[in-house]
Amino acid sequence: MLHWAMKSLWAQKATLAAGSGGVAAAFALVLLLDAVFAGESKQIVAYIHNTHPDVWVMQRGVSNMHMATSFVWDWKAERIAALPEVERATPILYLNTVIQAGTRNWFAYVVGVRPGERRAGPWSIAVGKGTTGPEEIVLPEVLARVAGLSLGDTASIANKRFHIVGLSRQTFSMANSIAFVDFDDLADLLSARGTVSYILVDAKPGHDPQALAAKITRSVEQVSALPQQVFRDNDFNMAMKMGVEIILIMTVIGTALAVLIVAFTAYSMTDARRRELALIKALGVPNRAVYSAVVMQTLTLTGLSYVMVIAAGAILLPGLERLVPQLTLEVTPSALLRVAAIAVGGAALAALIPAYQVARVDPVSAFNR
Amino acid sequence: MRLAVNELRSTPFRTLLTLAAIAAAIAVILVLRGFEQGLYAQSRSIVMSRGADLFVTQAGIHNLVAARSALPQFTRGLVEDIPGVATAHPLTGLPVIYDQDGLKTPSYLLIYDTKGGPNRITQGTAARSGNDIVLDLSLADKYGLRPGDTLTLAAFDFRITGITTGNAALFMPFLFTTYDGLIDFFLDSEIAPDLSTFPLLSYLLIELRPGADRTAVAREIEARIPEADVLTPSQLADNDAALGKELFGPVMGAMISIAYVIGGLVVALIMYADVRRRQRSFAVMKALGFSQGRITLEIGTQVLILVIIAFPMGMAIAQLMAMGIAWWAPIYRVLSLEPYGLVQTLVGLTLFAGFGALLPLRLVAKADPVTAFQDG
Amino acid sequence: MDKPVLKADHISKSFGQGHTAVRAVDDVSLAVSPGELVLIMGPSGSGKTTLLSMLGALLHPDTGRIQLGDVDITPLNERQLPRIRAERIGFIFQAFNLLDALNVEENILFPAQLVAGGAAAARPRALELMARLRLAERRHALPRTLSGGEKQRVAIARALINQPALILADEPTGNLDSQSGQEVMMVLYDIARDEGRSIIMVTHDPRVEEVADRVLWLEDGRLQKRRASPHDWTACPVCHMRVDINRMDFAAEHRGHVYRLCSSRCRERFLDDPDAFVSGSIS
Repeated sequence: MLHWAMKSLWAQKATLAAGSGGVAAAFALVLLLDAVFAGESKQIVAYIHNTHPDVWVMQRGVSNMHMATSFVWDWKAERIAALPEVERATPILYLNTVIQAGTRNWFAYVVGVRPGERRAGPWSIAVGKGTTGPEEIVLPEVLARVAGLSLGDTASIANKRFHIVGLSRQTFSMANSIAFVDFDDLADLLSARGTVSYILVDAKPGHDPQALAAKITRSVEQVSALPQQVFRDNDFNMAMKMGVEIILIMTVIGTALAVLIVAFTAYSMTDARRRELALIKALGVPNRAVYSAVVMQTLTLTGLSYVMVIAAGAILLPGLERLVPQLTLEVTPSALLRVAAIAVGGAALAALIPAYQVARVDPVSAFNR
Repeated sequence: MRLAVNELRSTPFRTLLTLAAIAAAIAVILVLRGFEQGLYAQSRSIVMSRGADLFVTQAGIHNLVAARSALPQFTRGLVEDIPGVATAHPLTGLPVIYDQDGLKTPSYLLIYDTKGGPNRITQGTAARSGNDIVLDLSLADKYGLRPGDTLTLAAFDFRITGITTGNAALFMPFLFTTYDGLIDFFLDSEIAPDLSTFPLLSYLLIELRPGADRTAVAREIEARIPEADVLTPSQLADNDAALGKELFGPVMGAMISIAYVIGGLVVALIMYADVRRRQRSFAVMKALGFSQGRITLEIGTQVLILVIIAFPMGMAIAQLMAMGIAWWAPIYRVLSLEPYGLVQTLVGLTLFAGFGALLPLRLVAKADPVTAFQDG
Repeated sequence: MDKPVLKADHISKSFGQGHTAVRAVDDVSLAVSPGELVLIMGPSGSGKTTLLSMLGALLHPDTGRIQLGDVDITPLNERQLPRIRAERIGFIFQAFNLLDALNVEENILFPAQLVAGGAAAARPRALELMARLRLAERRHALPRTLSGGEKQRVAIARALINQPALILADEPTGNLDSQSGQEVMMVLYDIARDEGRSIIMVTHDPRVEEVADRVLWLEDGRLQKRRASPHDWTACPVCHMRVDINRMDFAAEHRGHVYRLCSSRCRERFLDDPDAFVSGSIS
């Protein structure tokens, strides 16, 4: 029966292709949104991840960077630097705001770095320099490309104009590109002279970041200190959770679509084979074997769709990211597992309609001429 | 036409399933479009609901959400001195992260004085005293918060006095408190080390005197206060909507495109199965003298009828889905029945459906009129 | 006489209810011995296919019993009957009913998976059947590439693969040209004669009568004695079309005579003015 089910499925290639294409597209809806959120969430922590200090110090009560506001007196950085476990303490100013570049606005993290400071600046430079002086800015390479800008052009934050002196890699995302400016310029923009936003703390070799964070929180008043991993996870999880509901909505929609398409495809295929089903039943194949064959067909259909969407993803994603550089996509194993579960569950559910057809096929109709 | 209608009527279960499949594809397109439109409408609505005739922002800042605007404190007095200005109401925006048991939600706190406070309050009242706060239903529902409950932001306890609806933008719920609340919040939580770093005044909401020329007043403010820009509510709302479009447009565009592809494939699948089933009928039609073009027209008519019947079904499903989403996740607004979106979806899907219907034409071409003489 | 392969006792079957009820098979009894080739003939709509369906365990009789070998299949339910069909009955259909997606060999082996040993055990027999039915060259061909005669030979091989005691054939030559039909008939005859399998065949093909062991005449659902001539012709008094007195439903009485009419329309015209039609008519 299985052999017949598979060959019969294969014999209706056009239906199979359209059906599995439709289901693959439904799966793509689920995967794409998940990939967008995972990609954006990953990019949201790109700065934290790539600068990678041992401990992050910020204003008390703050535990994130994304969408957060933090101000700490600048002398606290010196006090932290003086701790015996601390190798280095690098202060930055930070602002979530809109940059005007080219003809449009870009929502970005703007990081103010002290002159000549490389520790907290861009980690990979494509063109130009990685450090900024007054009225200079380093923008993401992708942003500059999309905005049609190059070195020497200008971009504005509020009404302040900056000259582009460098283009960085791995710093672009749709929701949070990272731009680097001079520390004092950003302090002026924030009206925040004498303060810093975050302090990146590197521990001396052999010192545990967790213990160091605890010590900083104890010994420096009104600051929070978090180990790198905790700080990164805070932002990543918050960003991912912002998308949980919409991802779930899209999963439900994608699943419903997939079930409907599989059900329709299986229904059409079964309908086209009514005569054969009557014959099969007349020859003595029990109903349960025919049901199993139908379930195998729907499973194969969803399985094929799953393979199609993964293959299409592998082929198209790199191109898509080049074509639409605003998209930062990350296909996660959990998303793939979830879609696999949808494929199996959807196939079983969708098999109900053709199973109903099978039950209604009268073997006597095999005699129809 | 009659043949196409009769064909659909003769197989009611198949027709129903077919309509359901097309309607589902339409509903998904409408919901995705509605989601995108809702996202932009939310951004616009936040600005338009503040009740200002003009907005004064920091020079170079042309957004309300996702931008940090800081105006010097003296700006309010200068603006109120300008002829045509009745009142300048202060408004401050502050991004905050609400954290309850580790579940964090980036939110936006709007601090108001005499105008610009919460609108569409569905439960409780507006903030009155220092630590009163009003929050959007999307945040309240997420954490099970109700009027009378305590809401803690950066170690400062607010008391919830009211719940609003429709005050969310770019996936962020809005909270509202008064300047009394802001000062308490600031002093108590020591959120900033120094008052000077704290954005006490982000925007001014200008209320004009009756008969005042809006353009002239705006020009005068910009002339007298170089640190400020003036925008109409529509301009500011359009900027926020445009920012939303820049942030989410590519993703939504990609997803809507996929939904169209699904719609096209569903129609292709349906028509392929249908044409395959009716191949003998087509052979008979050819034998009776129907041309390939005439049969193609019949198939096209059938697709058109299906799409036209399925469209209101899809609209109904989309509206039900929108209502379900609004009930389950009020942070999102789904405007699935916007006329422009409906027309665009109808045209787009008809085109995709037309393409889908072309695929099985090969089968029609293969229908041999001679087979009409053969036994069924 | 050997113990019958099939025995049907007073079986009846009706379809529909109330005034629309049709008694398709009415109190039919028959027994078929091993190796016997029995033909069931009769006019269209006489109940042949319904009878064949009941004998093939596809349809339950309303009354009566059917025994296949030593098994009374009448009380068996839809869970038990498929096995009986797979093991004890082979089917041959007028429309061949091959599975489009499977090739010749796979079609022949298809029923083998339903019995002990499965397709693997049946493969040598499939090869033998293909050789015997001149299908060996076509074993990998798909049904759509076969001629009508080849298709029916594949169907015959499929019916024989599980070595059933009984083969039910419904108009096996109905879709074939004269030569292919002749060939198929001879194959079936050989099977009955050489392998001792019983064959019940529904057919209109008069050539088969010569090789059949028995010919049964089914008319109006009952087995009847076959008339020398199945028709008794007269002419419709209105339009003069030829009508069969035994099968005609439209009649009208006029001046003591019963007139047979071809249709309700002619009956109405006749009743309007019978005298205009009676002269010269044959009653």
